[in-house]
Order: sequence, then structure tokens, then C-alpha cells
Amino acid sequence: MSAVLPPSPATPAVPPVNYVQAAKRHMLDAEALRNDNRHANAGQLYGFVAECGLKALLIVCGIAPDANGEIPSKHRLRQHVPLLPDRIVAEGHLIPDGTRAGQYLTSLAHLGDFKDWSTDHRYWRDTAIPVHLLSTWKQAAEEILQALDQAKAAGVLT
Amino acid sequence: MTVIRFNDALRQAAHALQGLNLPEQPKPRLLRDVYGRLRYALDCAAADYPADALAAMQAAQSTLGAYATSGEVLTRDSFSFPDRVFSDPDWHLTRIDLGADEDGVHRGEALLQVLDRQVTGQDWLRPVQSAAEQHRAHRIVFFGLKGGVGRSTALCMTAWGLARKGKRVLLIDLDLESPGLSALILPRDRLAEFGVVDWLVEDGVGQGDSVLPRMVAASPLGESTVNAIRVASATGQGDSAYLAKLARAYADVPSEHGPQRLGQRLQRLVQSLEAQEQPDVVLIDSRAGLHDLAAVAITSLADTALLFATDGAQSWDGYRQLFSHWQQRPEIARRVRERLNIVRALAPKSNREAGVQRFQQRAYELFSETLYDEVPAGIEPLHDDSADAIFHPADTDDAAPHFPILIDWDERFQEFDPKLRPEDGGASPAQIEAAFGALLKFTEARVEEGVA
Repeated sequence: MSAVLPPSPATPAVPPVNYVQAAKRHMLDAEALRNDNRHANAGQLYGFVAECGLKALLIVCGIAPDANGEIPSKHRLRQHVPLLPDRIVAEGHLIPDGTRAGQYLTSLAHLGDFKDWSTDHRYWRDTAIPVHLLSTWKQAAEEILQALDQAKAAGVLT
Repeated sequence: MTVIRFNDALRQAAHALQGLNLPEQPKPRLLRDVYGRLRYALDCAAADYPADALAAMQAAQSTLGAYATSGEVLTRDSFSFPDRVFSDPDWHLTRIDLGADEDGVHRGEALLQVLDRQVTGQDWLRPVQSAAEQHRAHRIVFFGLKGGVGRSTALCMTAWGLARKGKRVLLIDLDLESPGLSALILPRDRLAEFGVVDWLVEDGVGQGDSVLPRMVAASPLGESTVNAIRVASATGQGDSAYLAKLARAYADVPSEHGPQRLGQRLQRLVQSLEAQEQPDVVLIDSRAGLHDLAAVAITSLADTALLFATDGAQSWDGYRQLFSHWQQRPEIARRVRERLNIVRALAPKSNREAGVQRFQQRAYELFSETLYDEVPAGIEPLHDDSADAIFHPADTDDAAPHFPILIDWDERFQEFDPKLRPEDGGASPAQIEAAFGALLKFTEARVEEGVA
């Protein structure tokens, strides 16, 4: 009879990554920064809302997370925006549940609106960041959170 | 421990609430997920609801076993945009039969707001606004629980009859998985360039409008009538990619206001065709069976839904399932029932009178037990003023939804080609009148009412 092994340090009991909570948190902070006219970092956070929200939806659509709760490293869809939405459309065959993907992912009208957003903006000087796109990014991020609400109501995201 | 099944879960969830000491407002709701599992939902922040009441609801939810989505009672905090969730038009006040207690005494029923999240079938509960409200032509949907009941032939004859009376008639084939209407009414070389399935695919990439002007053809059946019969077929001329398009036709498509579902898209298509063609009446061939396409046609498009039936268990049981689905949501039942009409198809000629009587009685029983209002004791529905608001027509009321429109069986119309002239083996106007007269009279009256 095998002994009960203690959990390995590499597999924490509660995975640290929770894309849904992270998406909502980034949204609240993005809104706080936008209301305080700190648009450059508000924009950066809208991009992270989108990334976390899309990754939560990818898990809803059947991609198995690793022990950390993340999309596994080296997976083609473990990307930031704007590459992540591009790959979702172009490499949809990597998403196991095509019916749900059609319902929650490919029916997002603003999926392509982060094309001028970059994680590199965190290094950029104030005037170089395209903050005129702030409302576009906000709208696209809100649309993804609405899809999370729908998945929650449908019982596929608990 | 008793295993909870689908049918028990809703009843138990509703019954459990009655034993709890809950605040008057907000009233608990029920959200049923895509698997049929349930959660209670409260349209308030969790912090604004008494903690002990919330805990009691969580405990009640946990007794649902496999039919509890999770331990969470949903509140406004559960969503990023709670207003959108709690004001979703798919919430329906729903009658839930509470079953019997241990002594076999019936507990009555509860009335709760229920939001059903389904993978398919949502459109059975999304009734359209009337033709008058939307300032458009009257739409008549032809539906059968199964094929082979003479539905498409009856549709062609109705088109011919209405066009003969000077109506501009538009036919739309929404029987996409068994597209046959166009073959019946259009020679192959007269098909339009594009079909309904092309519009659905092109709309998915944002260019549905570009195919609209090239998806309607005139039927030769209209050459002998006052006005033309225009046909929007399921398929376009010479299409060799129909299945590849059909596989993509039902997808949700992106829009500014969120994903557009099949029902919304088909409504948009029919409205666009009506704007382009300006018909007096639109006849829609629906897919047979309890399928999403039929749900859209009957509930979200039809002003009149003709329900084809034969006198067999398959017809009656199927319609009972559908009517019960509406019956549980009284506000939907009220909006849907008066547009329905049973058609007795392929009525045998032998023992005709007895057969007609029996069919009429069964149809009446079906409607009485499902969609007609219960008549409280002591009220005479026909003679009592207090019965005004009660919808329960008499069994002999020939204008009532249950009163069958008869189409006699006639071998002439088996494997019939309505495109043929009488001299080439087609039917003469008198023969058509003899078999389809009741249907023609009924549809003409409906269209005239719509105009008035």
C-alpha cells in the first residue's frame, strides 16, 4: 500500500492564478486611474483586463490549466494582447470546445481593438503612449468582462 | 439518500424557499444553467442582505445535489455588469408545481422569476411584436412536428390562392436542413443566385446586405395570378458548397451590442427581405420538429403559426410538450396562444365526419389542458362578464386556435408538382379549392385582419 505523499511544493493546494479575479481587479484599478486622469497606466491595465479575461474564457472553452491555474507555458495561446486575440482567431483549432468558443470568444466585436496596445508601453515616455485610444480599449475590455458574466450565468464558469 | 433528477430540482429549489425566513425584498430568483443546475439569485449586493438569510439559502441550495451549480448564491457582486444580468429579457415569471407532501396532499404552485440559460431552444420563449406594432406584412409560418404531412404543398397552394386574390406574396424557406420548397415552386434554372444560407454566412462577415437583392426569384406559379409570388430559397443556383455553409450558418456573430444569436439574425433577414420586397403577406416554411429554427419561426417571427398535425400520438404528444413549455411561463403563453392554429392535414375521406369530430375533440382537450386559462368554478366563460379576461374558447368556436383547419387527403396532391398547368397533369383551380379551400379562406381572412 502506497503512503500518502505530501503535496509537492510545485503544486500548491490553491493555484495562485485566478484569471477572473485578476481581470476584475485590473478593471477596478483601470477605472480608478482613468477617473483620476492618469490615462497612460489606465490604458496599460485595460490591456491586462483583456488578457486575463480571454485566458479565463479559453479555460472555459476547454484548455486545461497547469498546476498554477495558468495556460501552460509553451502553449501557442499563452500570449499578451494584441497577439492573443489574433491567435484565438487564426488558431481556433487549438481550442477544444468549438461551440463555446463560437459563443464566448469569436463573437466579440472588439477583439481586434488592442492592435496598438503593447506591454512595452510600461517603458515608454508619457507622450508616446497612444492614450487617445483609451475609450476603445475600455470598451473592448468591458465586452470581455460581459462575456465572463454570461459564462458565469450559464454555469460554465463557476 | 434520494437522487435529485432534473424534474425534481426546480420543484425542490422553489419549495425549499417557502420554509425560509427571508426579507420581503428582493424576491429570490432562480437561475438554471446550461446543464440544468440551479442557483438562487438576489438582485442586491450581498452586504445588503441579512447574513443569516443568505446562509439559509446557501444551505437550501446545497440540498439540490448534482443539480446545484455551486454553493454560491448569486448577487450583484457575482457579476461585472449586474444590471445587464438582472434585467435580461429572458427572465420569466414561471409557474412551478410544488408536487405533493409525504401524505400525498398537493402543495400548490410557486411563481418565481427564472432565467434559463440553454445551449439551444432559448427562442421558444422570445415572442415577436405584432405586425401592427411593427408596421409590416402579416407573416404565416407553416410548421409540422414531422415531415410528410403535406406542409410544403399546402404552403404553395396558399401562395397561389393569396396571389390570385391580388396579394403580393413572399415565400421564405427556413427549412434549411431539408430545403425543398424551392424545388416545388421554382424550376432549377429560375433559382436566385443566393439563398438564405448564403445570407447567414455573408452576414457573419458583415456583408449580408450585398446578397439581399440577388436572393429572391419569381415563381412561375405566379404567372397565372394577379400578383407575383416571390421566393427566397434556402439555397442559391448551382450551389455545391451548401453543407459547408450550413455548418457555419447558425453561429453567433459579433455586433456592437454583444453577440447576435440566430433568432435575432433571422428576424433581421426577414425584416430586410420585407423592406426590399414590400409584400402583403409572408409565408415561411419552418423546419420540422422541436428544433431551434422552428422556435425562431413560430415564436419570434410568426403572426400566425399553422401547426400541421395528423391524428396520432406523435402529433399530440409533441404538441403537448411544446405547449407545456409555454404554459409554465404565463406571460409567454398569453402572447403566443392566439396566433396558433391547428391544421388537420391529410384528413382521410373514409368515416370523415367521425374522424373530424375526434380530431377536433383531441385538439380542444390539448389546448384546454395547456394554453387556455383555467375557468374558476362558478363562472360561465361565454355568458359571464367577469370572464372577460379569461381566454378559454368553447370547443365549437371555429375561430379558436384549437379548431382544426381541414385539408382532405387527395391522391392528386401526393408527389404533386404545383408548377404544372392543369393540362400537363397539374391541378385546376377548382380542384385546389376543393382540397385547400378552408386553408385559403382562413389565410385570406388573417391577412385582411392584418391590413385592417
